[in-house]
Amino acid sequence: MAFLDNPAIILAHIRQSHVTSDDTGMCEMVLIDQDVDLEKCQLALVPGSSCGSTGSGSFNEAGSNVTDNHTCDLSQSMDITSSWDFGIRRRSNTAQRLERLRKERQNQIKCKNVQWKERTSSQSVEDLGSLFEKRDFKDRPRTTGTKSTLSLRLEQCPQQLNNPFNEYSKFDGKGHIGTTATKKIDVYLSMQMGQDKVHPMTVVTIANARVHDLIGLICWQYTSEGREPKLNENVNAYCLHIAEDDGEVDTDFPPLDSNEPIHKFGFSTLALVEKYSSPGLASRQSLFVRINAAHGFSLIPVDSLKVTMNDILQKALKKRKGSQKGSGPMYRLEKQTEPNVAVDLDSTLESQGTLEFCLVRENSISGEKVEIDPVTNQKASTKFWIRQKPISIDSDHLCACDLVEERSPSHAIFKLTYLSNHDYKPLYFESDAATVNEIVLKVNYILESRASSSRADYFAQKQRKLSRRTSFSFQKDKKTGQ
Amino acid sequence: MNVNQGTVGSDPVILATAGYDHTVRFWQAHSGICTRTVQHQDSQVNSLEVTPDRSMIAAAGYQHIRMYDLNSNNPNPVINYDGVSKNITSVGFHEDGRWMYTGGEDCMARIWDLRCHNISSHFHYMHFPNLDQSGVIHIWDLKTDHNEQLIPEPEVSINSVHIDPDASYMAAVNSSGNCFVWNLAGGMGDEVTQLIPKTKIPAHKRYSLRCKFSPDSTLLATCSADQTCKIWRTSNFSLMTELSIKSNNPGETSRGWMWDCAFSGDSQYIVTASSDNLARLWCVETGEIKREYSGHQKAVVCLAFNDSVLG
Repeated sequence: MAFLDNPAIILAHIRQSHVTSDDTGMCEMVLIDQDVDLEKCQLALVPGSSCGSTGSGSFNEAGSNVTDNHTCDLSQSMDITSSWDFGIRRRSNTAQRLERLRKERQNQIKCKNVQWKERTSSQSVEDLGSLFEKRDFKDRPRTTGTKSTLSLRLEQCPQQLNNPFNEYSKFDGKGHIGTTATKKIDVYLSMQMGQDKVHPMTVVTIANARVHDLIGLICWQYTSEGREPKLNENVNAYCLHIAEDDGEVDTDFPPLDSNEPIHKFGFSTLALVEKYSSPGLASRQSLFVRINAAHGFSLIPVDSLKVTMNDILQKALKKRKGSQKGSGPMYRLEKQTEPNVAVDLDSTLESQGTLEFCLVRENSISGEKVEIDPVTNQKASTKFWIRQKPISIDSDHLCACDLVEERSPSHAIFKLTYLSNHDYKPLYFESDAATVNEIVLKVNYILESRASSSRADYFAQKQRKLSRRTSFSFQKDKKTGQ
Repeated sequence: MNVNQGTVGSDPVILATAGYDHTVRFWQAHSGICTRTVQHQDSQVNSLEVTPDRSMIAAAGYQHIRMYDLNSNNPNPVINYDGVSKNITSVGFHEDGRWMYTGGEDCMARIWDLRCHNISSHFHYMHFPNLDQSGVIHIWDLKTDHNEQLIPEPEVSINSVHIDPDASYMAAVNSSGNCFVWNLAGGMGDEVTQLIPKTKIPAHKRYSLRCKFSPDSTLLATCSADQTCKIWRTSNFSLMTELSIKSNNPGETSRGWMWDCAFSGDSQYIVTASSDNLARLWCVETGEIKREYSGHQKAVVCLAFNDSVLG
């Protein structure tokens, strides 16, 4: 109370109050960092100010000098630091709601409000008579026989009538901007020729349209703009692909799913691509052949249904890592629905009646060879840094194949013994019990049918070992694979 | 034909539709493209009308009449007329733009003074008769507040009344689907306008919602809950064309009511609004659908159509 006559204290108090009570942080910024000099000037001008006369000289110096009068120390309190982050201060939900309400209020202010009022009875009959003058409508100018603007315009653009995509015009977002969520997309039109192909058509769609609706809208706009060539009237004949900014279609990705809402996708550039339709595959999205492999699948784009299965196989192998041309394991294709039946590679895709196949390693076990193609196991390879090479074992060098252990239906180990440089080498494989048993059975069939000399030698040696009654032990050299 | 150029008000053809989805949509009538949408908060729109100077559009809803600017892209109303306790079901303007008249479920017809925003009272200019639920048409003399009552069919609600541009006929449709037509005679000077019953047309089997004369006064259109809009010749009140949105598939249920209609400036075309979320443009002569205006999410119940006649 005693200091209320001290302007410095009052100023400090005001500053403090502003800084601490202002949520936006603006006062903090302004007062603490920029206003100091100004305040000091004012202080100096206040007559009779005790600190103004005694201390103004000293605490103008860089602020580091100790002021002799603590009561007029203008530096901020210790617990207030300028944070500089007021510009990006997170706005709370309440703040956002208040902002919305404020906007609504502003809109209402812009809107003039007129309240119904009863007429005052002061108006006389004559006044009212002049306000509501009788009029003769019988001799107004006749307009019969003349044309209206609408009629003229309808004649000028008859193509609108025959637009087969009219039902999709409702997804056009141009008239909805500001009221409904819309999305602007540049669409490259792969069916157009020359220059037109290079320039995208800008489409504005309402955001809750599905991809199918957007395709229809694109077709509608394409047709109403009179673009050539004419489109297939079936919207299902087209699909939307992701495209680069220069219009190049990104075929690494499948087309956008027709049933998904367009707002799910963030792409602002797309390409309209005609699908290769065939009666049997009409329901398919486009010509992507799905090739399921041991780990995952790949989608192989094909040009038409006339391609041979061999082409598809080659493309699938190209996509798959680790498969080398010429050498390495052989593969075959099987229909997903018909396992263990190899697809005739000379036949066409059209004749298969499906677009989903399985890539199966061929000749993994055959009469001639056993092919071992290590599956890259992420965990194993990072742990051991061991590059496992594909191994091909000639059946003549194969000695034995035995089940080592079967812990559970999902885990079993078998051992393959083969002759390598006059040494018997074991290979251990783990897989689920069913697969292991099947492999063991198959390999043993082959072994029995071939009756190779190495096998005979191996068993002879094994017999000798057993007769010597040495303890049987093996070192674990486990390999993953099936 | 750039959609984004210019404003709705600068276009010689204005077509606006509204209904239960709380939006008013503006269309390029010849192309079917929606050019603008404005929000009508909190209420459906029962009636739409463009002001005579084409600067604004009035949308009548629950307790409000809101005016939107046609010469800007402001999605919010610029004037809000308030103070009515119930739904306002019809709105219109006097041709010199000074008066706006409204009718509503509070059984009041009101005349609003647009210039000083000061209001006249509940009486009604005689060319705009007042309707009520009991089937009575009140015809008001605004000088004297005197009103004459017409009861074409007792206790059957009258849904719409229209007077043709020549002021020679007045038509009214009611909830039993009947359409009544009167001849208008006299009315000049101090003479009282005479209404002489002309004909009764059993136009529809179900509710009839709107009747409207064509600009050349040769046609009368009636809209109904029976999914049709029928066009009658005023020369003899015979049926000329039936515009139907009935499905050809007998299994399909009703596509909804035909709510409102409006003729083009040369009376060659008619726009209809219906519950199947669509407005349609029909050729009056052939009954062919020429355009569909698709975009509303709910029933379209009213429209305003302002076509200009080429001289």
